[in-house]
Amino acid sequence: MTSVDLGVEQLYGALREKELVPDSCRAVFIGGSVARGWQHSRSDTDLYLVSGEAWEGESDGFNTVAVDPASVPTNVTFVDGNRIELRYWQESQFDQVLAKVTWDAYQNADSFGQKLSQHEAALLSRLTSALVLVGDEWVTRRREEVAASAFRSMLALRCLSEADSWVRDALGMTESGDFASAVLAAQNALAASADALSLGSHEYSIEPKWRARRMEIIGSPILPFDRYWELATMRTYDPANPTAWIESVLEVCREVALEVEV
Amino acid sequence: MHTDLQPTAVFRPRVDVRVRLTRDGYLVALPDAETFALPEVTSFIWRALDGKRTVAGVASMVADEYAVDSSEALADTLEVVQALLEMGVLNDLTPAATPPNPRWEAS
Repeated sequence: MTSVDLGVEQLYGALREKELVPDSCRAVFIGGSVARGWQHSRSDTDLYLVSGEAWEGESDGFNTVAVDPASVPTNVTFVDGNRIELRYWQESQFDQVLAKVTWDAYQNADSFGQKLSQHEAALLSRLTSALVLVGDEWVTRRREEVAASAFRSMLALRCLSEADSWVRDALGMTESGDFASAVLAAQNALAASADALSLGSHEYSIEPKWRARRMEIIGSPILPFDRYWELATMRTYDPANPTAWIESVLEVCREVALEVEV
Repeated sequence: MHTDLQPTAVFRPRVDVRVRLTRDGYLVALPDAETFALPEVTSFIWRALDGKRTVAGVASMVADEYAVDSSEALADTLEVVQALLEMGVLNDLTPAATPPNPRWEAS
């Protein structure tokens, strides 16, 4: 059973009973796989609680973030056997995260969004596909702000640059006859390009484990899922001629870069 | 330099040329080289050079896209491809000409 099976109202009620919800919540939402309907039998539920004040209840850990204050308290609890991980963000922290992904920051200071920590990027990414328990209006407004920001471009540029780097390595390794290394570099180039392509289709998640899901959903004419899967699973790889597979992957990477606007 | 660029030639941008699609069109950079912006028609031709179409085929697409006559489109396309070749950003994938049949040569 997951929190979706449980029902969001029932989940929210259970969390309130356990006194794990701040009184002044602007929003409570589920992010990640459960919100997307991609959860499996061992999935956690990632729950975000955003309020105007710092969480004053008990917590059993924290996420380090690069905003002020620099930590987000966390709690893990179980509701009907479902593991729930709660993160207590302050709205002022959210505002600071959003301030890192302005178009001005993208064009003049931090094109790759390097000032954005992993937890901050996950917050913005998960907000875009959140399952809302409380604060529909807040979430809708904040989603619009994220969509209007340079967040997607920053992540896409990061993925494309990563792909370029792997392509360069794959070419050099092929030229020097190191085909095993070149194949691994090409695999990484394909992964980064697939992520860039998903971002180009406004799929904000870049978690590797959901790459196939994303490729299936976006249905890109540049790299249809079947073609992606054929390359990812190396079905056309011929050990006697590794260059052919490597070249076909690098060509896909080139085509992806032509399509993804940053 | 391709002094004998033919409409039947086939090219594709090198895979190690970094390309970024921005709101203003394509930015292109060779490894360890400066980035430059491609003008609109050059961007269109860049995309169309897929390693399968001939230069003439690309010119035909240019004629359709920009509503110009085919001879003008071909001249423009040849000029752009020539410039890209001089920058060293294209791979020549033109199929090799079929060698003459020796029996015919003998006769």
